[in-house]
Amino acid sequence: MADRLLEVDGLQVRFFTRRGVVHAVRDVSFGIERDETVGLVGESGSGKSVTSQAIMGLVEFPGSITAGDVRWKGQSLVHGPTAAADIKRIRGNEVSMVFQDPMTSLNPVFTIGSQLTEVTRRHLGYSKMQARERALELLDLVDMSNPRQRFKQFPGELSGGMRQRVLIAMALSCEPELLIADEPTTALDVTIQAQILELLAELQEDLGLSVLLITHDLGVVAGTCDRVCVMYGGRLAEVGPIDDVFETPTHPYSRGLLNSTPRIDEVTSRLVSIDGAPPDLVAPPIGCPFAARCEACSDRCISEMPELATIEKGRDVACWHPFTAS
Amino acid sequence: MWTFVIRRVGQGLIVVVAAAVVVFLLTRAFTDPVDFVLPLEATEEQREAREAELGFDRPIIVQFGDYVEDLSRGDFGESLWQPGRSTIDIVGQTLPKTLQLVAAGMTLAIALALPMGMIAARRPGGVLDRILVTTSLIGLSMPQFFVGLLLLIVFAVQLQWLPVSGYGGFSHLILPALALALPAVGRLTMVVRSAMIDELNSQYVRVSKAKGTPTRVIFTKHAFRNAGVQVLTLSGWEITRALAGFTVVVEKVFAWPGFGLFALEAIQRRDIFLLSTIVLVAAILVVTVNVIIDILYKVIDPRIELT
Ligand SMILES: Nc1ncnc2c1ncn2[C@@H]1O[C@H](COP(=O)(O)OP(=O)(O)OP(=O)(O)O)[C@@H](O)[C@H]1O
Ligand SMILES: [Mg+2]
Repeated sequence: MADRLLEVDGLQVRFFTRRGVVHAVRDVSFGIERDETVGLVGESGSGKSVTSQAIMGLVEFPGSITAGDVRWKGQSLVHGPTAAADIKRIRGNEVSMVFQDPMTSLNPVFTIGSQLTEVTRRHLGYSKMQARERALELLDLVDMSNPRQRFKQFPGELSGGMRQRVLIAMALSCEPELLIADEPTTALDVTIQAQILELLAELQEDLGLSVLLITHDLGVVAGTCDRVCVMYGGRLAEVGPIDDVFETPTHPYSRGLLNSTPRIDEVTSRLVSIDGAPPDLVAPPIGCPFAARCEACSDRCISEMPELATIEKGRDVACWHPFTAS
Repeated sequence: MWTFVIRRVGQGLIVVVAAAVVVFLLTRAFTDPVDFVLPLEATEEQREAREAELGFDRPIIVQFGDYVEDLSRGDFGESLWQPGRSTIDIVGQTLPKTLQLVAAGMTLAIALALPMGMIAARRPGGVLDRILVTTSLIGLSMPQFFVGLLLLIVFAVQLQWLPVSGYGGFSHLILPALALALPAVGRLTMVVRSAMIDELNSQYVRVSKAKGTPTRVIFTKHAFRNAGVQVLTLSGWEITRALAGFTVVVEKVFAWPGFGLFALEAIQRRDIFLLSTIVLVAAILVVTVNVIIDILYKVIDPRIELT
């Protein structure tokens, strides 16, 4: 616990739309230790991105954090008189972020250099020359060929993979302690995906970064993370060390998710997809959000919400009928 | 960049030359200028005599040669309505007044529309946004002459704060400039607003926020530069529109002795030579504005191809 960097505690995020209130994130709690890589997985719409936005203080209008807390090194980034100023200082500095779509993530009318130097000039007060030196160093760090030339180029002149490297370089400018990567490889070709993941793993090791890796691909998590949080319908379904969750998934949703992921180390007979669709977050079910799609569903699952409970050390699951190894 | 500029200027020159040819053909080949010079009841002999005197009986190609030569010497011909005065002289006297009006009106329009559109875009659907959008819609849907008359009645006739009409000092400029600006403010605000909303919803803005870039910088630097292309397009259109004729209405309402008013006068007095000079000068102005806008595009957006 001593070196816990980030703590998300009972986080609740709602969007007040014309269609009704969207309960995007409900009562999510997890922590990230120094030097740790945590995976956040779940299918589309499960609230992964919104969770990361809440951590960064970037929940978009018409949404807001309606309950719970996000603490950075023990300090609240949501409540208290200095929270607003703190999050502004931390964002892009101690905690930074890489997004899904490298093609649109850079401003097309400014050079790579100008966008890279903006960060260090703002957060670290670098002079123009210092910022330029640092930017070239960063471009080199993310294995970009010819940094000097890249510095002067516009985003339109780079490929998707190169742009993602630039974005990673940008996120690393101020030597952050936590890097949040929201589906950093989804938009890239498979070969480039592998390169980017490898780069992230290398950087994590070399720089002693903590990483929150958001993805819907369990295969990606398997290779890179220490722990994994499985999200479903805006709630956490299961949290645990990566190997344990992969060996013996206890939540029926994690099992389904694993069955639908091709694994390289095993010749599975066939891929099973989970039937049905995720719950409507405007009127979420009062019971377990997964109940409607669950094989082990009972009356209790429909009428009562299972809370996240520890089943063994370091393993939490929110289910009335968890699978157990025994 | 410089080849681009030279190319654009060259293209502009071609358009101006084409305009000169069209004006020449319309006034010499497709109409008989003598019809305008002489009263309707003139006899055939009088017409022929006058035609020979003015050189209109020669082959069209020879006339064209003369015309080009005159133009290149800066000789744009003599006015029929004010005999003895060269048409370019009249234009030279009235054009600055129109330019002054257009410059004041458009500066005002852009200066008002940029902040209005940006403020509206801060929170689409919010109270401020709705107020600004409604105001803009009212502005852009009012005909120019109506805006002019309204301003005139309220501020000049009722309140008597400002002169009713005519050309004079700064106080004379206020109402016509406002009349020219207001509908343009409406249109420009809507475009600035929608372009800014588009940009603010884009991924690179999200990334900038995550980098810790302050909202003010995101607005005025990142999003605005991208929205700039659209804003520039409409501003250019507004300026050419004002130059190419729409100022006439305002000049008429406020008796502003500009270029447009004289164009109207030239039409009424059947002064075909004055009118052709005015058309030619207007064409040059419109082309100039367009060339400048094209160059500015290139300056703000590197993605625009150098063609
Ligand atoms: N700006 C918004 N306005 C309204 N609802 C929103 C907004 N942003 C997200 N939501 C809702 O929040 C829920 C969670 O969305 P989120 O983007 O976090 O999903 P995700 O797990 O990241 O999915 P994906 O894998 O597709 O990225 C969705 O139901 C979505 O409709
Ligand atoms: Mg997402």
